[in-house]
Amino acid sequence: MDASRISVDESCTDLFTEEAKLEKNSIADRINANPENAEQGLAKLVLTVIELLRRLMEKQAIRRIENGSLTEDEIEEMGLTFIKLEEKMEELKKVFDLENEDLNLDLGPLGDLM
Amino acid sequence: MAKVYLYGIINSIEVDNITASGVTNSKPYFIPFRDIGIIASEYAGEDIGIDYENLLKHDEVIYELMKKHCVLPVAFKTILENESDMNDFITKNYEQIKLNLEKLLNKCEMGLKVIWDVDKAKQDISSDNENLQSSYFNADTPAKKYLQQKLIYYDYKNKLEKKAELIKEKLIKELEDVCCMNKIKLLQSEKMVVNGAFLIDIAVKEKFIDSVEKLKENNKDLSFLLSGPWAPYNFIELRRD
Repeated sequence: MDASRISVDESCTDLFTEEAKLEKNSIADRINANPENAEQGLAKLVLTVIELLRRLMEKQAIRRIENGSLTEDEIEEMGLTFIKLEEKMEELKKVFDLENEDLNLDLGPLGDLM
Repeated sequence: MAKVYLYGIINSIEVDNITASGVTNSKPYFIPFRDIGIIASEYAGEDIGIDYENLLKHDEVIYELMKKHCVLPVAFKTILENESDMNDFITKNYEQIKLNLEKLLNKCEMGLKVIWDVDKAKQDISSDNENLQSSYFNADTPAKKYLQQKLIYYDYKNKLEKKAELIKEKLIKELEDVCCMNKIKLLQSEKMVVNGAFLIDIAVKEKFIDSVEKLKENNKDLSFLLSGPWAPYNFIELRRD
């Protein structure tokens, strides 16, 4: 590549090289689908959607706590529900050998799902 | 019939011999279509590793074309079953391709990545969060402790995003006169506070670079990586009807 197309202070080169490695990993994860790992690809998609819903529910609960619209008992109940949900997600991630970073989708012009 | 690896589409039916070797073992060639041209190569099914070497080989073909033409770059590793599928794709999207070629004529994309001192940003935020622990409810059970941790986490995340947003605004203010459009991702990683693509007129490239230099001068606590010119990968809009 034409080296003049990249400009970075020498002192920052390592920082950006490190970040580039992370980006490279995410490219590979996004594209590397084949018949052998189709099951894992499907699990990734399903778990990503579940994780999105879980986070939305969590954010909604946080908003309600901040607004003071939940009783102490309701807070307790919600806390227990979210703990169980998180535990279940951890189990499923282990089964399909997925990490937290895997649970995302590139929506093109809309950016990443999460 | 051989599969087809696509590189890009240009606003011309004439092109010089393409010297870049391309990603596959087959030399890139030119296919005229009405008043536009497609750059492709034969693809025999060889493994194309997703690595920088191949990404750059893909871009080298596009960069060579950019020197003389307006190019709509096609994403790395776009492979069609055969030339007939390619023709169908171009026929179906011809009007939109033309609109994009008009919109992006004499324009290019510049990339700007910014890394910040995330530890300092976290330090600034953490002192506020200590107060939050005692608010809202008494965390006297595991379930409530769990939710309290979530409250702290979301509060911290919001504050980090607000700080990142301020940096974005600073950047946009400095670059708005020299760019037509921008696509900015915030906090792609904890360290990379801004990952931006800027669509600029090729004629103001030097001005854009000067503006980035000014940003560097005025923000010594940030690290910048400027790249480009690239073909406008991030500014193509193809609707799928």
